[in-house]
Formats: sequence, C-alpha cells, structure tokens
Amino acid sequence: MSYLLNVHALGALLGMVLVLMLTRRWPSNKRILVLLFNLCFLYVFSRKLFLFSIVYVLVNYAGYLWLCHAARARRLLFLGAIAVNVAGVSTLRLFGMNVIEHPLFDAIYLFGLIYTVLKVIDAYYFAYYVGKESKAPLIDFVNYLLFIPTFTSGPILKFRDFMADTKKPYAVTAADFEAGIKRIILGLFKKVVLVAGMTYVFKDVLELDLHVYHSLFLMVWFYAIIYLDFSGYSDIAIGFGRLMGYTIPENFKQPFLSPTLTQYWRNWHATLGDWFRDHIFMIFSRNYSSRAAAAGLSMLIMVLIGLWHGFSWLYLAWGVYHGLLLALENVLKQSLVNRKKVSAAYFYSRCLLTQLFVTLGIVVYSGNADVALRIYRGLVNW
Amino acid sequence: MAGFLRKLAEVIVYAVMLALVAACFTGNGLFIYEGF
Repeated sequence: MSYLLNVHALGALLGMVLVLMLTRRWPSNKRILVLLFNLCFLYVFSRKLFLFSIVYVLVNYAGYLWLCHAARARRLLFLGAIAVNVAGVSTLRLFGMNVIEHPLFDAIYLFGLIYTVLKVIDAYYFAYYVGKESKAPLIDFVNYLLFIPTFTSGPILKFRDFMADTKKPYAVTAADFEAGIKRIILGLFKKVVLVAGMTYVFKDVLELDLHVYHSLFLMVWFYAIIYLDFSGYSDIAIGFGRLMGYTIPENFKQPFLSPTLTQYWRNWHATLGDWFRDHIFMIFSRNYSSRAAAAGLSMLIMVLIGLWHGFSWLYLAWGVYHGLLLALENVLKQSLVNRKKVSAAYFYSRCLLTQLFVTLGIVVYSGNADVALRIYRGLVNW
Repeated sequence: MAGFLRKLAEVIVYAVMLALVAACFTGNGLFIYEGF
C-alpha cells in the first residue's frame, strides 16, 4: 500500500510544506520539523511500524557511530554490520512469505524496508571510507532513513548528498515551488488517471484466450503501466522533497533513449542501479578489471537486483536474463554507444533493440508467476 | 507574447491534469503491484 495516494497522507504532506514555509526564518526548521513530521506520520500510520523503525534506526545509528570512531577491526565491523542488516531483512522477507512463522512478526515491518536497508548500508560505506569526518547527528540520520516522501519506494537517497542538504537552510524559491507542484500534479496524473485506466485494459485482455498478438500487446502495455506507475511515484516524491527543502535524485532519465542495456540501467530506476554500481561494482572492479570479471560482476549485480525485488524463481530468472545480456555486452565490447559518434539510424535502432530485450522480461514486475507464465505461453500460441 | 502563450498553455494542461486527478482520485492509496 502506498500512502502517497492516500488523501490523509497527501493532506499531511501539503500541511508540512505550508508549516515549513511559514517557519522559513527559523534556521533549524528543516531538520527539527521534518523529524517531528516523519515520526508523527509513522506513528499515525502504524504504531508497530513506528516502534520497529525507531529500534531499527537507533541500532544502526549505534553501529554507524561505532564504525565512525573505530580504530581497529574496521573492516570486520563494516562487513559485519552489512551482513547483519542483509540477514535481518532477508529473514523478515521470509517471514513475509510465510516460509517461517513467528507470532511477533507483522507484515507492516517490511513496509519500505528494502529501500531503508540500502540507505543504511550507504551510511556504513560512508562511515567506513570517510571515518570520523563522516559523523552525522542523530536527528539527520533519522531524517535520512525515515524521510517520508521517499520512505516506501525511493528514489534512494545518498547519505552524503542528504547530509549536505541538511546543512543548507530551508529555501524554496517561486521557481522551486512551481516545479515542485508541477511534479506532484504530473505524478498524480500518471498514477491516478493513466495507470488506473490502463490497468483495467490490461486485466480485460488478460482474461482472453491469449494469442501471440495479445501477449505482445500485454507486454508493451504492461511496460507502459510500470513506467507510468513508478515514474509517477518518483515524480510525487521528488516534488514533495523539493517543497520540503531537500533535493531528491531523479529515478528516470529518458530510459527509452538508451542504446545499450548498460546505459538503460543508468536511466531506469537510476538510483537503484547507481546504488549497486557504487556499492558492489566499483569496489570489486578495482581488483578485477578484466572484461570477463566485469561480465561476472554484471551477472552478480542483476541477480542481486532481482532478489532485491523478491525472493522468487521469477525474479531470479529475470536477474539471470538481464545479467546474461549485460555480460554479453561487456564481453562483446558493446556496453556503451556514444550518440555523437554514431548515425541517428544506428543509435535509434540500438535503442529499439534495448527496449525489445527489456520488454521481453518486463512482465516479471507483475510479481505474479501465473500472470507472467500466461503471457509467455501466449507467445507460442499462434 | 510567445512566452505568455506558452505559459498559458502550460497552466491549462496542468489544470486539466489536476481536474482529472480530482475526478478519479479514490484516496485509497493502493499500490499498483498489489492490483495484479
């Protein structure tokens, strides 16, 4: 459930923007009032999620401070903190899938957690590589992890950028205000009007006896739905973030004009691709710089991204599929195409090819194996 | 003049989008992935 389409949540966010504007002369309004807002919002939304989030943030803040100041066994502490977080979130997801059960578990704990854990790990990376200089106050650490506009579905904030933002006083110019309101309206329009209407069509066609043309249509249609849905969500988050005085990174940077899959993953859900590139690819590729190693790392990253979406064979297969394609691009030296150095016809034909590969795997995002298999079976029904 | 007309067109487009959002908004907050 996304609260950004909930009428009370939207009212609360707009009210918070108004309060921030009215208190703009108070230098700490952006940090203290946003902290109160984040906590109150979670408390009203779910007491259980509020308590879980408080404990999760405080435990990780203690680990983060320890890592900032630790003089010995830093690497062990760093890797241990990441391992504990990944193991903890993975265990909770298994509880969510009813693979394991416990009376204290509640599905609400998983709300936004897969995004929050990525931000926590980013903070640990920063503490590990920068040390004491990276130390951030608790108030900013809490705001970073629980920032309401991006809490459930990103875009994924970078620790360094967010901390730099907190040091600036609240300042929203008329141009910022206009841009923020326009992004929110655009995002709501995509989600409330376009996605809602297009979903009816998708469901209606899905009910038919699927032939190849139905399946091809459903794939393209679903791709459009996913794009509008997710980019719409990002638009709303970016708009509210801007009105609350924080810069939220873009998640979709003209992904349809990507001539290779490597470039596509820098433009589609860009903050997720950036996160994995920054935290896995960049670290390992220092030690393994050959093309074969880059291909292997691409495979590893895509499998991890697949499992990050969900623990199922469908997402695993999706990760392997994209990993293989990225590995092939690496091995065949086809990872990058510079638009300025090739003809327009070549550039657009490569973009089309990239979209074809993406479209073939897109129905996996439905998260429903029955739906995905039904559509794939239709492809062989002439 | 061209700038004014462009701005006017922009205002109209966003007003229409907002009106459609207001007409279709349920306020339930269902995330699309749960709809499938």
